[in-house]
Amino acid sequence: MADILHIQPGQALKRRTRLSTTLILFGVLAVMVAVFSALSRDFYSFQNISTMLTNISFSGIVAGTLTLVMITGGLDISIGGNIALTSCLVAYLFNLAHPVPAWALIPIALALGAAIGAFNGFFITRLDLNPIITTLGTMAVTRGLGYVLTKARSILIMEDVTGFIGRTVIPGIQIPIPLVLFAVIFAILFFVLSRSKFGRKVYCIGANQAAARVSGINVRRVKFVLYLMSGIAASLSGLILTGQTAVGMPQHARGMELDVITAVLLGGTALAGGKGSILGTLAGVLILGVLYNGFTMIGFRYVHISVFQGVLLIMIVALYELRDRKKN
Amino acid sequence: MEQPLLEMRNISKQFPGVQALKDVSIDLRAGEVLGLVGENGAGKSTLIKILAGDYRADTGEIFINGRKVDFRSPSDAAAMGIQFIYQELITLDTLTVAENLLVGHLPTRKMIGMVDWKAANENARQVLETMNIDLDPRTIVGDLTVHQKQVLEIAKAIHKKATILVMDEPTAALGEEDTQSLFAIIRNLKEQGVGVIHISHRLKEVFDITDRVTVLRDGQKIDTVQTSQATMTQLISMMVGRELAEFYPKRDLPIGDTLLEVGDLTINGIIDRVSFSLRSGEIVGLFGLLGSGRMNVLRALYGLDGYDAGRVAVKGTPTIINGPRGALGNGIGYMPIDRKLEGLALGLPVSSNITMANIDNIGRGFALNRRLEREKAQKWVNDVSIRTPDIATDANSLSGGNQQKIVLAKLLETGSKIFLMNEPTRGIDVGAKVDIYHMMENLCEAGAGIVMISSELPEMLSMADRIIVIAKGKVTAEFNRAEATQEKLLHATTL
Amino acid sequence: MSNAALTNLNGRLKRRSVAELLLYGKSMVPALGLLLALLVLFFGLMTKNFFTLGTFKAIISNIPVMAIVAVGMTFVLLIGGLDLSVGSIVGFTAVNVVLFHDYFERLGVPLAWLPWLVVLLSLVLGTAVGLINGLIITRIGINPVITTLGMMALARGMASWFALGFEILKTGRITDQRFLDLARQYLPSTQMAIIPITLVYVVVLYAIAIIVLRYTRYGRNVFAVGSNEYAARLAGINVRRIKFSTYIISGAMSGLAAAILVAQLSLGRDDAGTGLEMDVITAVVLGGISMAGGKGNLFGVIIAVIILGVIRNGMVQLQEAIGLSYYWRDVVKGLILILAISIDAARVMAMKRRQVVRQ
Repeated sequence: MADILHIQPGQALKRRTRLSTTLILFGVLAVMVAVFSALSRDFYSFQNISTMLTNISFSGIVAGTLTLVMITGGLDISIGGNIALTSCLVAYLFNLAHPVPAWALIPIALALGAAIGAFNGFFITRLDLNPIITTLGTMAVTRGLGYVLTKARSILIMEDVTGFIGRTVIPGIQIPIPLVLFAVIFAILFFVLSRSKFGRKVYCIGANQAAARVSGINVRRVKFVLYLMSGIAASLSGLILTGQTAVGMPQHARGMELDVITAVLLGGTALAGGKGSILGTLAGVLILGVLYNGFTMIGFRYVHISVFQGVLLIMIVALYELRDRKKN
Repeated sequence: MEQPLLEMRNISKQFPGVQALKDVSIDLRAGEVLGLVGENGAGKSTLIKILAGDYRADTGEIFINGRKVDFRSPSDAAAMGIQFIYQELITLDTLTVAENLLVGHLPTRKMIGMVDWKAANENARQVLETMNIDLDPRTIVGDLTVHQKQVLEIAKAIHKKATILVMDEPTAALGEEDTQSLFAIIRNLKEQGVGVIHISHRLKEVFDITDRVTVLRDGQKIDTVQTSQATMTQLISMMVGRELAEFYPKRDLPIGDTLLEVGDLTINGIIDRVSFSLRSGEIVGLFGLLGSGRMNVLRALYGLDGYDAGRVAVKGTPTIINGPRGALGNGIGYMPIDRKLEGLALGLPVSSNITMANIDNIGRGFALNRRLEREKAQKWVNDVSIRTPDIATDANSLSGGNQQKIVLAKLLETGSKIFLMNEPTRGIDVGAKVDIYHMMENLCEAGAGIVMISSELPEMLSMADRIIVIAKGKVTAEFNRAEATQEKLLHATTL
Repeated sequence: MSNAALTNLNGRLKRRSVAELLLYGKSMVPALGLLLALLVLFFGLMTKNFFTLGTFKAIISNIPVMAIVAVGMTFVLLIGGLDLSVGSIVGFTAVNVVLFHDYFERLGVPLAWLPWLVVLLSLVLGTAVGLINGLIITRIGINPVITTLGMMALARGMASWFALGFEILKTGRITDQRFLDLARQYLPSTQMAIIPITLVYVVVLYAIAIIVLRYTRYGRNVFAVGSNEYAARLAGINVRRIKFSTYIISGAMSGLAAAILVAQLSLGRDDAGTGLEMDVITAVVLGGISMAGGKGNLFGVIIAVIILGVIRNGMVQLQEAIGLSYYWRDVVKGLILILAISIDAARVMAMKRRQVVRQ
């Protein structure tokens, strides 16, 4: 029996490169935290860290599922619209003349997310449509429905359950619930992607879809499930946001797609698919979260950050592209 | 004596491990059709690639109209008036015939510089007319049949002032009528002084259209004969005339029950009522030329393509094959012809590739049992003699032969009993070939059955217990091993 | 061609081809014309004031911006690319239009020239952004989706940044009548105001674009690249340059549209053009420009733009008539987009299916 730990030099280099990218990312993260702490006194405060981590959890949950989608070469830009619609629906139902009971709001929200995910999944896997344009359409549909539902106004929702999800902190250790959710979901996704049969199928599809199909993998079903998951995760994020802001409005999460995609790409997932990891996405999400928060603390305003976002996205992809080209 | 249009003298070319061409000389005269025949691997495509400027010959020279030329790139050949018509047609399907013909240099009105469609269509019409081609220049190319597209490619070549036309298996996808129509065009070209090199496996057609035929075998030129004075038998024996070398004759093994029964399998326009059966312990070969439909049969049996009529029964039970998963569920495994396209994920490690078709069974529940996977991968690496530094090595680091073995291991891991193999030893070295034959034999000994497509006659004759010949979508003959000969097989493809 | 219907008895059989007209028809124009007619009929029946001059004017005023940007997007889609940044380019340029205008007005540039100068600058600005897109996509080789997605954020961010920094943009109304007239004039004269001048702009632009695409070598090369990049390269076409040029055109059109928009509204806000990319992509794909590239014509696009304009206005009137919330408009647009790409995908697949070969 060959010694599995014995790796040839060439192989070791490649493995080291994958690992080192993630390490570098975490290294960058550490440096950034140090720099921002030095530049702004408020940065390293408990309050700020807590807020920052909550924000990170909000977009991180979706980034996790999006990672799986992108590994198979797909994309989901309807997540923002999904979040908006979820928050509008929840707020709407809660404020009806005969209000929907609070405990029912969560399953309803998740069901909505599943429905949106299934909608995407159907068109992308059954009709083989371009994922980018399809989810662009879904984004319009969902956000539009949010506007219809709320007649473009914000609906207040002061409620225990959503408040619990969005704002509560576990007493004693003072950890916000969203962070717990984020950690749990990421742990699950990590397990799924790296240790489960399903996760292996995801990687196979990403590496060579034709070979995966010939090998008997139900490519259609796997992709469908991934879009389903993405939809549910977005709804969950929507619940968190609603809880945090205590408001359901159709303008929620505008432009969030860009953040999430940038985080996933930063973490090393390739746009064409095949490569990617949850750990990498974690690093990406953390880095971006710290970056935006840090910038705000220093005094940059939203508009500056927005400009930076666009540049960052292009730079990240360019860097990875150049690195891959050098390797060949 | 008149200078030949083209002369290739003493061409030799070696690749690592194989002498593709050894001292081959051919010549082509103006206004003649020269057939180039030979088996797979005889060196035809290498010779053509050298002519096209894709490869450079190790030794030898090329002369055009008596002048020595040196092709350094594909555009050099075109500049000398040589045009190639390959099997993969390169057309602009959303545009018209006229536009395809004139792409890049559409005629414009002198004053304004605007495209003159009237002139374009007229030019195209003229070109097509001189070749006796009946095609409306305003038709969208995407609407044309394969034959018409091919004809268009030829027209394009002539329009580029080709004096030498090289056609690689032009009739592979054509029916009888279209073939005759193509030949009419070729004869027309002959009259205009164009020289045509016609590469084909279809010997009947070679007799139909060529003036002379050059036979290649194992990288050497055997002879060039006048077609009118040659016979089919003569050609065939020149093509295969070697001694059937020590390949790897499959041992005669006990044949058991019927594993697979195929009845009247039909795909409209492609294959017509193909029937055969496969029994435990035997290897059935499907032999046919390019475009005969043999691959369509295999792909339909594995559920990769649909079929329009027919019955399939596995171990006596009629079944419907619903895609690869359905096939695997019925104990049918498939080895694709192109391992890079459909067989392997090159970016994944060896172990992941080996287990790809059996993921659900490696471990209980949701989790993939990685230890079990490593054990299985290691087992197969040993059993199938895959040379790899480690099971975690990425598949693209391995040689072609070892990559093919990975695909085989993947099939074995599924525990299938019926194996559909599409050119199992394509593009791999002799050592690996022998290993694969060995494995195939073991499988049969264990009671499995194999349906094998191979275009290498010696391989087919030594490995298959029974050989079914398919031509133009129909079964034309069936031979058992004792009675089969290369000549009979090739002859059956002409029926 | 298979004729057998899908049954269970004989195994996995092939499906029948669908809706022949839609799939195999050469052009989407007849289908679109029909759709337009049906929509007009529908809205006319359901609302009170649909067939009035007011409606006509409202629709006409909504169309120019979308129509102009659609021309640029058409070029990009024809080579098989995508430009998601058009809306942001409009926003960015709109903000700069106000800035330019204010600056030059204070400089004392004669009023006769001022409007045209500003329009020229808008064109230049849009072209510049398009140029950057093109460089990144064709020189560095980054995926068009990512590039234009990033540019979308970048340009929008810059627009907002400017809006923060410059006072003029806060109060920023342009009152110079000559400039406003660029978009508000009617022909033939102020007394007989029938045809809005923006309509003329659109017609002229489309005429030019149609001529370029159909009658210039450049235009035909665009189609060739989109149809089969490899074949185009073999034919000697500079594929990279052609692709580059389409992104420049898209940027230029967005810049031009921004000038018109500002003149129509008399102000340039940083959120101008939000969501425009979705509208334009919907219009272009609905209009028959295939996402696979190399196929389609601008006649279909302009009809699709009109269709979207009719829907927009129709839904406003529908709200008044039967109380249907106007906000259903976005939902409808999203569904139309998905419908449009479904049809496109079906057409592409139908063409591919006819190429099945014996192997």
